[in-house]
Amino acid sequence: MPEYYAKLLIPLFGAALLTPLVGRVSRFLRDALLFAAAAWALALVSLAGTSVAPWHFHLLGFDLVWRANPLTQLFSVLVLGLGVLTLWFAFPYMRERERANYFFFSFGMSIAASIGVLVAGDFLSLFFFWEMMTWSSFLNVIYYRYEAQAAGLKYFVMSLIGAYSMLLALVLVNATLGTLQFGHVLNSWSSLATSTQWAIWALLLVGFGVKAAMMPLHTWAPDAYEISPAPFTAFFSGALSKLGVYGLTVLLFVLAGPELWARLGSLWQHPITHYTVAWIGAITAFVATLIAVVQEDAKRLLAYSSVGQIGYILLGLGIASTLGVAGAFYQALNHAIFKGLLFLTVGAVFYRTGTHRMDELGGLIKKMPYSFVAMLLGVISLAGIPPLSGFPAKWILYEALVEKHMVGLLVVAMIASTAAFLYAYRLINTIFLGQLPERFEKVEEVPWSMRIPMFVLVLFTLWFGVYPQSALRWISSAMAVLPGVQPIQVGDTSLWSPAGTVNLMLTANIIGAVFLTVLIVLALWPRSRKVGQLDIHTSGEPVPPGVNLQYATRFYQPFERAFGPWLKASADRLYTNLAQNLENLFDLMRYVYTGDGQTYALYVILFLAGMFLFAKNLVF
Amino acid sequence: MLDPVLLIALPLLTAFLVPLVRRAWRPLGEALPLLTLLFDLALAISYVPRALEKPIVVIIAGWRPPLGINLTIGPLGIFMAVMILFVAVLVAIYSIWYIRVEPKERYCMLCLMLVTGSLGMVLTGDIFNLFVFMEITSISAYALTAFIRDRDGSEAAFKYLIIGSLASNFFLLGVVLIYSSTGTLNMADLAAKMPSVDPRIAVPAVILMVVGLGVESEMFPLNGWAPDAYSMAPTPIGAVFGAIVVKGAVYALARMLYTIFNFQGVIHFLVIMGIVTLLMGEMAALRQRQIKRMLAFSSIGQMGLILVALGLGTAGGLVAALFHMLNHALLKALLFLTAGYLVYHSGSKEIADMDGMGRRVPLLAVAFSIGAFGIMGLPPLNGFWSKFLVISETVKAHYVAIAALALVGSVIEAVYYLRVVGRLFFKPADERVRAARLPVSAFVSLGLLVVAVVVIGLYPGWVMHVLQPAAHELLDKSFYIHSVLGP
Repeated sequence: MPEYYAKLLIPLFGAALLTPLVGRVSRFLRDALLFAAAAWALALVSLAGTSVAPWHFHLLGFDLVWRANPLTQLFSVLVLGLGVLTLWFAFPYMRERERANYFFFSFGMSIAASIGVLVAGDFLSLFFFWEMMTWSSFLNVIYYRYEAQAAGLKYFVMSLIGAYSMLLALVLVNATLGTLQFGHVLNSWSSLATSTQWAIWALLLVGFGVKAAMMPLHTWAPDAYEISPAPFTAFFSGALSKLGVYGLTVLLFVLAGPELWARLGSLWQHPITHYTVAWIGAITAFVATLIAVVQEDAKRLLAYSSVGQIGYILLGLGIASTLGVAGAFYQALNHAIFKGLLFLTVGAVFYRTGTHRMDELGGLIKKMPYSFVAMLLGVISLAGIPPLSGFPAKWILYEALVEKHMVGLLVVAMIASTAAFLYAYRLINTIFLGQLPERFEKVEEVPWSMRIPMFVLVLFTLWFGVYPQSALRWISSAMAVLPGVQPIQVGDTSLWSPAGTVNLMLTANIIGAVFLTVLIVLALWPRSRKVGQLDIHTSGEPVPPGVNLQYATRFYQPFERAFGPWLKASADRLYTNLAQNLENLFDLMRYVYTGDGQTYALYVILFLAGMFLFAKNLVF
Repeated sequence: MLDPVLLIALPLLTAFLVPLVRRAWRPLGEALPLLTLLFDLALAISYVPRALEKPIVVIIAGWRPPLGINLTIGPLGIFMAVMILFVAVLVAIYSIWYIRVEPKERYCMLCLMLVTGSLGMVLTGDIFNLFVFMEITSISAYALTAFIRDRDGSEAAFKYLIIGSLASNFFLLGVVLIYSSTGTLNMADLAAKMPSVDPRIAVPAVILMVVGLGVESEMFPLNGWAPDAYSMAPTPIGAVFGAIVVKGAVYALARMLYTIFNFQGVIHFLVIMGIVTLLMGEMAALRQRQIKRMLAFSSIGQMGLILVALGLGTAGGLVAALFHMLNHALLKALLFLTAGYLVYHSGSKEIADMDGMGRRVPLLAVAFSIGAFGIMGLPPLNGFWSKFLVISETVKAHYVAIAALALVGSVIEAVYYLRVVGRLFFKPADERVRAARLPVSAFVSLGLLVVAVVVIGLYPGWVMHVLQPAAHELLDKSFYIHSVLGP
């Protein structure tokens, strides 16, 4: 195995496999080993991940290839960067918990398998690592055993359905083109029948769409994100689901460029395949956001928010223009940062309070000020407000929509974006503001070891918000790998596009200046007076303990009333019912086996007779 | 070099020696079956390089083929023999501690007879001889089904007996038909003469043989015996059924259809039967309450997949079928052997009573999970590669819908295996079930199986050296004829 791939994968897999053994000897050694492996891989990928010779090899008669290019580097750094930070967070988080070895084994395996997915330059290696990633993340979803069983089963079965449709697509490619390598497909694409092209598109869309939690294949995500341990959820939502995005990028831009796809048909000059993905993305963003608003559990809320945010990424990919793809990648990067951050803060709250139900929390700002700031910045980034990284991502996406005159999509995306404020605000309000429940009087801030990874993420979201060029240069080189899409052009200080320019440095400076001025003014002329919490609420009346002054349950009642009838329709329930009915139907087959010897003998005779009857059709 | 006839003769001899030796010196009697099988396995492995080069034709008693009976040890035969013996050795190790019900000597005898029979089936070059060995295998299998002499066991054995004897009669009828028209029983000679046989005779013969062998190879709807027999026999025998008896029958089926008859229509008919078998097996397994019955139905499902691959009629399809046979033999053996101790420790065959075994006997539950993950086809275990190859070859042969249906079956399979694995690990254990350690014999046999499953999963290319010549032997009829009869 050529050096680079060996150096990358062996430490990752090795560390993961050694985890259960080393963990028995020393907790510290286990943590150090895993962390070192991930950090080493991160360093290797970011320093050497662009120019590596591909490695060709044969297995079972298939020509396989592993490769590394700027596109895979972008996603690898995303996976490993978030992996390193969430591992860091996980070490103190898991200290007091049982089955830490199991947790870190499956965590390590997930990271290693994701890197395997990104290294694969052919479908077979991709599928191999994809399945490994599925079962290792499944092991982590079922960490809480019994209560997690249903969520785990749902996740696994849906992943399997996705994986099998991917498998069908890849054997179809192999059967028709005789190759499994991504690079070869493009050259011989025209020789594929139209029906095969459609089949490959549909099967891979389902295959990768499940992992990306694209609607209506998202139903595993809320359950799995809710139940998995928080540090892993951060990685799961921030990095693993991005592999679905990576897969869709491969499908829509590597196997064949937009022009080749356009031969299947186009609508208003957009390839119909991409246009469909764009609409799926927009609808995913819209519907998931509406559902997120009415959640009562912070992790479920973030899960639906993840589904929605990935909808924007799909939207960007579906626009299939330079700006669209750049926006999608920017949003992928941005989502990894802020969703990782938000899940970690919710994890921090859970670590101290033992719950992530929003109606049980409140007023933690005084107890956990650092976590509050982290979450506040995460929420600002989520909402797409400058100067954080969410702004350039959304700005590029909207500009791409305007440039392509996709008005319908623009409207849906805008509405979804606005509705996202509702749930974003709710996170802050119900967890950190308001009244502190009495049982949390003794809660403390999480230790520094957990604050640091959160603040590293905060710095990143700030950095990419103020210097979008640094990210865009990187994205531009990743896009250069994609045939059929022009890489985005990046200026030195401003974000340039056919529709206009924006100087985010300037924006950041203005915001910073305003912020500082207000701060200075407030510091110099203090007009405020400290009041106790109860003073305002009750006009000074003493309140007996236990009276609830803040209502966090059914927070957006009017909203729920407005959208209630539509929210009742649930894809999840549909699937569950379908699965139940199918199972009942399948179960009927059990009665073929009556347990009666005579029946079985009868079957044999009838089968023989049947074969004689149809003998003419059998023999040729 | 030792005479290859020993491969078959040795277990047969030991089978009858065991009771005598046991009377004379008990420890030797206990160890004798294992030692014989180990020696046999080593012997078989030592033949592998030569068999791959050129089939070894063993002439018995100086009568040259086509007159006399001969053994043809080609790549396919030796592959099957090594597989059978490997599983047999592991079952023998496992049984040292597991089977403590007297009369143990009968158990050992029957097992050795069964191994003799199936080795004979895969190595012989004579069709009547094949029938005889098939009968030896089946009769030992009937007896083993009823080994625990209770009502259910006897009933299952009786059902198996009825269907099995129907099957062997049909097979014999088929043999009679072709013997009457060709005047030969040697398989190579038959293969050479078959094209000139009147189809009005050949077609009924092939139909009778497909039905006869279909019963033992668990083809739907001929597999009614399987769930009862698997679940009522002593648990290690479940592994023997799944890995040895059924595989021998599938070998015979492939040999008949590819080497002797070569009717494309009948071969492709296997694809349809295979997918029906697969779906029926998986659907019936979905809500089974007993672990061994569930494994039996899962075994039916996997046999369906093998039949699909076998029916494609391409070199790749045959490689995939043989590879999946090997992997299924290893995985099903692993599952049955772990299920044996799961049943033993929980004191019940019901899946519902196995709650929390993962906490009481962790190694066992981990081994079961590895087997289940392997059957589901998750990397890096061996099942991944063969399932992938089967699906890939099926699509290559333009059976896209069949491949999709097979994958639907796989999803169903994942559901019921995960439910069991979930129970093992998630549910709190019953008070009655105590933490226990595995005996050394079980640890060794399960450990070897897990190692084999993982090693083949990591280095799948390694097995191909045997599988490709084996598939070639099946596809290239004239190669087989020439190597037996001379050019």
